[in-house]
Amino acid sequence: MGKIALVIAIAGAASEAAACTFCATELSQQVRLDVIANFWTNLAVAFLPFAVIGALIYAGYGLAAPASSRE
Amino acid sequence: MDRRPLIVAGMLLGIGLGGFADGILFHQILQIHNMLSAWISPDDILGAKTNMVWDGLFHALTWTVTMVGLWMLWKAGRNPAVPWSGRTLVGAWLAGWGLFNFVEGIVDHYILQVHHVVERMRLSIFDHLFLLSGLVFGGIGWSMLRNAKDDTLASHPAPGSRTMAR
Repeated sequence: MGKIALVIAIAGAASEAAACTFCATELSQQVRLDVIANFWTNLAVAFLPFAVIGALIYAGYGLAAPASSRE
Repeated sequence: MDRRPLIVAGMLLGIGLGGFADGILFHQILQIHNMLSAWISPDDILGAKTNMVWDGLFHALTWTVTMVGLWMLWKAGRNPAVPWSGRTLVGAWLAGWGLFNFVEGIVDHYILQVHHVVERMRLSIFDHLFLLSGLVFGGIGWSMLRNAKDDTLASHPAPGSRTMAR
């Protein structure tokens, strides 16, 4: 699942061990499991538009060079 | 003069704040969709809370983009080679917001269909309008940037001088 998913799992286990009444409910455990499931796929999906926009700006920055700096 | 640093800063601010506008208005206040609402239904408490996590990660990224834009604006303001033009900044901001709406609409609403503007209607007229808003914002921003290309007011005028030649 990867390092981040592992960190989330360890944090979850730690919160359960500490009997945290706010963060170790049965519902929060289910949420954590749902987030960990397909974590990287969902993260890639959520962030993909930003990667596309970043690539467009990077390409546009080169194309929009001022005339004086073009050879 | 090189106005690109100011344009990039403005565009990043537009992308970040455009993302916040989407998240705050559609995800939180109106609650008509969430980040993964087409894949994980938010109609039960587990799905709603799982989507809330993904909305939070989305907002974390828009916050980061906004902060990078602010940092770049600060750097541009300290660079005397960058013309200090309000029209350029606002035009770039609108262009960035439009770019966000257009790309996010194409990628998330049409291609991946990870969510739609009004989730219960699936792909609808509102997704088309969202895309159109991207084109309109982008067009207005682009037009402002074109009109401002001769703005040459330096961000750091020479000591004793209040104005610079345009």
